[in-house]
Amino acid sequence: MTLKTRIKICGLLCFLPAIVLCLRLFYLQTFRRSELTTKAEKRVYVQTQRDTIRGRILDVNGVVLAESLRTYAVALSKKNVNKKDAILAALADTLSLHQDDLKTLWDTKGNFFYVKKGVTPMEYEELEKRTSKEELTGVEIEPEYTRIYPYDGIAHDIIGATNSKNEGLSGIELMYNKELSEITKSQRVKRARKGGIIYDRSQDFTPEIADVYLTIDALGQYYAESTLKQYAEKYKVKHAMAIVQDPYNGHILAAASYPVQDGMSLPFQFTYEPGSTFKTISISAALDSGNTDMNATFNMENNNWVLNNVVIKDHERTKDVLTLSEVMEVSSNIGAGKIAYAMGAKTLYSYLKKYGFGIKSNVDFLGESSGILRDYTTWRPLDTAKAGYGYTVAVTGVQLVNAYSAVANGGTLMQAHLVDKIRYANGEEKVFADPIKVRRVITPKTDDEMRYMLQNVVIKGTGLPAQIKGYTVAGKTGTTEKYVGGGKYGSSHIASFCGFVPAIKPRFTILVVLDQPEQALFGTASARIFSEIAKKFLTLYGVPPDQENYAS
Amino acid sequence: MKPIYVILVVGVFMLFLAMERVQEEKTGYRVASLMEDISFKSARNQYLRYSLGTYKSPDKITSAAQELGLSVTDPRNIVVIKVNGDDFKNKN
Repeated sequence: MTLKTRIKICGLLCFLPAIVLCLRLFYLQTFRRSELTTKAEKRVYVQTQRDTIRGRILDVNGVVLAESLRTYAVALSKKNVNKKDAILAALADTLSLHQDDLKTLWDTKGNFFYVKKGVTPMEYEELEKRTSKEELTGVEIEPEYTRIYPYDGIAHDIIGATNSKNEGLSGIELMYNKELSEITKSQRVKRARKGGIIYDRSQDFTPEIADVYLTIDALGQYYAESTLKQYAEKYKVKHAMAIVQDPYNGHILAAASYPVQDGMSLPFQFTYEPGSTFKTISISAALDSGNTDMNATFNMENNNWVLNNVVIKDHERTKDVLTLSEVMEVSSNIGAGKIAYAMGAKTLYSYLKKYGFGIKSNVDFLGESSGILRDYTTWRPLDTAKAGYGYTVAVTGVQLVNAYSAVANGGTLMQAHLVDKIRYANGEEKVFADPIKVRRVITPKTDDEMRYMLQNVVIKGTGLPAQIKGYTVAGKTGTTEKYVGGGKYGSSHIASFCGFVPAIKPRFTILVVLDQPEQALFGTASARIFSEIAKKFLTLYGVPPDQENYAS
Repeated sequence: MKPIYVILVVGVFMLFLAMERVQEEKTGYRVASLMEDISFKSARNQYLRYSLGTYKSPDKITSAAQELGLSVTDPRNIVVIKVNGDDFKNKN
């Protein structure tokens, strides 16, 4: 073999590995490209978790009613656990669990199971330290959010609920879900050692979630809820509600329900026949339309007024003839029925519409009911008379309290507001609760006359328990037999009181409704609750007394 | 310029790029760790604020006040203080 040949062979031998390497690289990069790219991606990169962040719900004064807290879900992956007993002991110690319960979970569950959800940051920190110190493996920790209510769930029925994915399910949480929440994208980030990630600028993220401010006053809401609960339990009622409104701007200051259910707020959803509290509406309509006046008198027909072969009676027989004010004071069905009948269905209906009955108040609450107000052309004469004392129509609490606020503020129906404003992350605000005058319903003269009569109801009529020493109070009691269907009424009642305080320059319009109390109650029980709630609000808002020696 | 110098300059430049890349990853890792730390500490602070807030809830304050024999005052105790002709409503 010549030297030249030997050099060629050596050169070939030197290049052969390089050629093999090149061929291998060609093969890998061409034929196994997608498989290997995926493998590399998995080793180098990791997808961050898709997350939903959520804004806060606050009261009118900025008190936080609901916010989302970062918590953790702790799980075990059995096949990755290196020291079973030590892991179970660590979990039991740091997460305040019983070791026996954990052992049962271990024995009964599959490979992967959740040990505890809603683990607080402090518990998480303890667990991290412990697993790291004892070199324990197999614990899986997933970040999550828990919705928290710092004021012990005040206004929980209005606020509503969220699920574990931080999405609104009911109430304000659902209604303003779009403004309150933002879904963060899942991102591809570089993996680092010990499960960490490597930051790059594409991960920078400024959330654009908003905070929702309600017109509710947290402290007032607490007083309304606690007072309502106290009496609802005492009277053993099926449902109860109380609603407090500022009559001049329509702001709902408190809306309490009993019992409390997520996203089920009775003041906006519960419809009922208002009974005698509706006499304020029908009599103001008659006065305003000129169908009656303050000097009118009404024959009580020996407490046996027959209309369309149906007997209409008062709760108890009083006088043979009543003045208009006395009709209100003793809450005469015959008097109110006669007034409504004389006024006629068309006029009464037009005033009911003007007061906002039969349509939703658009108070910013999902699931608000519109009540029931049939077209007047379908009313029989008896229906017209019964509408005068609050039967054959069904209302919601917010509709009635808003109508009374119109009487309280001088005769103008205001738009009711539950949401004050939305504040966006960039500082911009969208205000919802600017006072909006919907329409004038009654003249100032009618309004003065109604105010006078409603005060008399509290001074010497059925509303005596609503009196508050030092303050003028105007209002009306109501007791309704509950409709059971088929044109019949049962033995159970709805007791209510609606009024405003102080009567001269009102600050609060308040409605209290007790549904199906166990014992026979009348509007007087609700009037007592009205008085209790009103006292708390007068104190809370620093409203000075307007009457010396008003009530004994 | 001799090729050896060109190779040397390119080599140094490549080394610089590689070191910069390593440094970037190290800094990225530190930033990510710090961000995680901030996030965790924010969550812990929020939880502490929440725990503190629950002690301020009207229900707890009312219960504590009732144990001390305190109650919400009658609204008639409200004092209106007039300062420079303006009404300052003072809640007792």
